[in-house]
Amino acid sequence: MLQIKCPVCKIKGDETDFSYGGEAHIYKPGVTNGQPPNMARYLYIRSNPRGVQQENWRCSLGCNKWFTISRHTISQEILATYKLRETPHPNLSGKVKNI
Amino acid sequence: MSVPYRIAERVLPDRIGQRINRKKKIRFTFDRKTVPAFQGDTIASALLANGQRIISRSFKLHRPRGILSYGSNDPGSLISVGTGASRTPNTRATMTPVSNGMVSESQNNWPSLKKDWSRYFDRIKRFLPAGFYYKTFMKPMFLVPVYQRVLRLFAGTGTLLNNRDTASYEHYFLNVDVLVIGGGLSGLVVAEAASTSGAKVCLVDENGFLGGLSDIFDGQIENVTCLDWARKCVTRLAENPNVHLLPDTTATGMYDHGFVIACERCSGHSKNNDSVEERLWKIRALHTVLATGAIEQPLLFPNNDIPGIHLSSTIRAMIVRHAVAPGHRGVIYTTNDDGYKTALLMIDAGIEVIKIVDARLHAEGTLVDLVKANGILITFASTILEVITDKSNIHIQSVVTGALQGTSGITTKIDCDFISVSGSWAPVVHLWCNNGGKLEFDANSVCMRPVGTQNCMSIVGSANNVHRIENLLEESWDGGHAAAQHALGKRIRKPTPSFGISKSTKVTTSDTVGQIVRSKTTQEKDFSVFVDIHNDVTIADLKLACREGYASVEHMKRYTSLGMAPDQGKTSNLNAAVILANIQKCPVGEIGTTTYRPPYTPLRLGTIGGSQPEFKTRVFRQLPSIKWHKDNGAVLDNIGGWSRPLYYARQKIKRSIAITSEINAVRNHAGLFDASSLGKIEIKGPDSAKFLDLVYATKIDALPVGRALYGVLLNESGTLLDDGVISRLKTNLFVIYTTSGNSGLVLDHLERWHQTEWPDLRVFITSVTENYAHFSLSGPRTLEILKSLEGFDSNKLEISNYLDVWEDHFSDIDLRVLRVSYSGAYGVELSIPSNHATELWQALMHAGKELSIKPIGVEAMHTLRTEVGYIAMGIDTDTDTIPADVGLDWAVSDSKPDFIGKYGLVQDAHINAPRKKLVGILTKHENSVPEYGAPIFDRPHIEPGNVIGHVTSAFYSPTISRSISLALVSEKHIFEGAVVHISQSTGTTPANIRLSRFITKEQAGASPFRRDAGGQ
Ligand SMILES: [Zn+2]
Repeated sequence: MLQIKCPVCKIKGDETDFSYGGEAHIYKPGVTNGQPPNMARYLYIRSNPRGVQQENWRCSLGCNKWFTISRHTISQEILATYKLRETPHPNLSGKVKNI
Repeated sequence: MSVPYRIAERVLPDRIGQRINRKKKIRFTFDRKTVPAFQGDTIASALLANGQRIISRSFKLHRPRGILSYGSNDPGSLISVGTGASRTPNTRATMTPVSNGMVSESQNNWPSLKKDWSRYFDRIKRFLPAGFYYKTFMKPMFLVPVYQRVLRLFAGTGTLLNNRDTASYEHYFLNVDVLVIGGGLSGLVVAEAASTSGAKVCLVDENGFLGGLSDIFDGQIENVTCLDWARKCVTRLAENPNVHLLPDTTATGMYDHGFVIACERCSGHSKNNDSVEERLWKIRALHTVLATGAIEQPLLFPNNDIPGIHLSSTIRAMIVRHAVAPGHRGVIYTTNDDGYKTALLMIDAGIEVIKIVDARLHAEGTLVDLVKANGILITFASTILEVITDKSNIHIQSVVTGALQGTSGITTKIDCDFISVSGSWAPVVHLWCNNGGKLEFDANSVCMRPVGTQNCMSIVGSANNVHRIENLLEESWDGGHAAAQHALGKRIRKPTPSFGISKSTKVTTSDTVGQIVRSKTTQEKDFSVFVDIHNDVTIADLKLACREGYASVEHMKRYTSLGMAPDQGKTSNLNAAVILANIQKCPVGEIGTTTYRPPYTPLRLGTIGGSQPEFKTRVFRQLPSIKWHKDNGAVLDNIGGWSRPLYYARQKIKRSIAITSEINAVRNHAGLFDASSLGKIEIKGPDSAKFLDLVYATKIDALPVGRALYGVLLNESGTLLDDGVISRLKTNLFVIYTTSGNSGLVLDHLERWHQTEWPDLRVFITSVTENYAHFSLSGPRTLEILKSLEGFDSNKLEISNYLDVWEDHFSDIDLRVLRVSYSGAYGVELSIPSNHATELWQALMHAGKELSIKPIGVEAMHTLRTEVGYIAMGIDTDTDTIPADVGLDWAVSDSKPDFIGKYGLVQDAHINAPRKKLVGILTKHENSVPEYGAPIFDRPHIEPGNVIGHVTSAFYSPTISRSISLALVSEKHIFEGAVVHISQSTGTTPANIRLSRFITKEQAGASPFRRDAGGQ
């Protein structure tokens, strides 16, 4: 049972007070040269790392805002929590894609 | 009644029988026989005192099982306790205190424990090796259900209750700085150190008495016995307001971020006045210290599973705690000094020690000298070769001992009636490993010991393979201090112990760690050397598993079932690893362990469920006019989280008649439907239209004020998420309607896209579902009814067009009027603030009384919409349905540059692959109504692989007096009149595909006005 702190309303709660929204920072392709984008990668491919993953969560029983956390998928440690459009913790920037 | 194995009161009264109160006599029954006991006995100790050695039968071979161990790790003593609704199956006799009148029964035997018929499985055990059932009972396929039924009779342990569990359970939450798991010497010291350092501490222990095994070790600390020392420590902790002691509580699992689940057994234990059976603690600790101790391991020799064989520590516990002698003449088989301690205690208690069989080459020290001084025979480098029993296989008569190495040896046969065994002490590392903790094989003490570090968790004492008391106390004090520092996030000066542990502290104990030995067995004997006593896994089974390729420890576990079931291998995993290493000729460290998963001991479903009697805590959303519906015979059901009327049966009329009359009312007169559960979301702000155009697939921007349209909402992959009406009340104010069950989903969807993708759009998204009641009035008499509604300007309605939206009044209350209809008949939908809902409903019913208006329920509404071919989201669609599959491609805009799902729609799977499409179905037999979800076949006989679709909606239509259905059918099978076959309870029923409407517009009661020709 993860313990998460919402960076917006600062409330701390169990993971069941929040809802999970999958991997964060997935690049959404647009139309290029009039050709429709290939959506398969965007829709279905996830990195599923053994290590730090950036992921979206919603403060669903609190302020209802989406935010991002950096979670280590083995130790379950939450290394950083940040609001949308904020830069993650500087030590993690090398591990974060598509910022 | 004589109690043959109870040690007399005069024998060392200070040391022996410490937990029993001989003045408080108790009687309980085991298998309908009365058993005398004392207060403080467990069922196990009371049965042993009365010479009842067999407690249960083993899982597979139905061999007799007795008491191996004193605690929750005992593999054999599962019984059922209680009667009727309060009976609890699979209770451990070793963990259950006796009480007056208690009823207990053995399990897994028939007709009786002693004469269990299935024990004959044991005679043919050679032909029932691991994997026997997988190999034998798989063919022929059609007999598999029969095999399952027959094998069920022999399999399993306790039987389930037939009736509802009447016990009550509850959940508690606790936040602490430091959680200490285990209340032995080490745990007590940790708790004391952490609380003295300023931390808020909770200590849990699965036993009712704190102090762990201090009562069965003879050491002294500061010139008092370990037990007295522990008692003083417990007293100090109990008085400390910063310490929460939780005895009788097993920490069953360690989860992420310091989250621990613990189960407290309340009734029948030390807290008799508790009305709760079990309490589940959800503990969040900043730091957890594991002081879970170690479990003595049994030894491997032929027939090592006979009831009179006990762990050495168990024998001492039985004597010291309950004054119970396991027998009159004992043989001690040991690999370490622990056996000598047991021997000395037995001598003191007046139990004859026939011989000590020591597997070590030699041993010396005070303990050995004391034993020798008592004239007890010791043979070194020797082992037990055979255990000889009476015919029942329950009572030991003698043992044959001989040399451990070589085959030459001279063997000796000795008469005895019980055996003490003592292998190594295996640290209890389950919780350490739950969270990914690492282990390493320690060859000196022959165990898996914890290595490395973990966030927010540490492990001390014998759980950390530190057994010498002086080391253990010091390590635990330091551990408690470090835990407090970590939890409080600051440096704290290490407090001086309130007791003087220092190098000078006088501690006298000896090392208890020993070595595991495997006696030489011939192939013949492999079948009788039991590694897992609960599941009857022998060395022969382990060898077979390796031969057949299941050599990895995880594969071996699944193949042989070793280490599965209630005890989870607490007394078998280590021995199995040693044997596997031996078979595979590799170091034990390379064998490793299986994954340790929670729970540590079995948890009841009732305890996990908590306090939810009759599901009182589950709340359904209530319609604002629910009272009227209830008063008027509505039959309610939970639909999409709402309690809604299915139909109205005021004069107890039949369901089908009620529904038919409601449908007829809409088609011929008027019907009023409570649609308040529809999701209603207000979209406000200057960018509302732009935002809706991005989220909906339908074009919205050009919608004029005062008009509404039907729109569809897609997932990014292009599949349907929801549909509904979007109405524009003002330039910058829209109200969107969602399917009842999807209101939360759609709100979250809109919020997410607004927050993450288009935060710059100036939009407010507000759910107003509960703020407005929403009634749908439809049928040919709608206009007449509304003409007599107080305050309502029916002129506006008369000149309105289909999909118009405007504001009107009911008396002086604002109404929103929407010209839509889900029934296909001419009608309006009216929104009113919820607090006026019942007034409006009653006024409409009153106005329509002379015009035969009827309230209509969900059943009738679904029939009505199916008659006119309207789909219901989530019923006629699933997560793979795209708009074109259900004829909604017209609602998807071609001209918009972007919207959610635009590019998902053009994926290969949606364009080039064969799709299932929604069609109408008319059964050949007009009265047969298919079941929801019934598979559809292209031929009359059912065969896997012939399924071409399934029924999504099916009703009996009174309007055309026949059954009508909607179905998703594979497109290559679709043409007007195509014959398909629908599965029903017996075989299939033929039907035709219908592509045109089921009923005409006239039959539906659509708008009589020419300007509405396009809609209802
Ligand atoms: Zn929040």
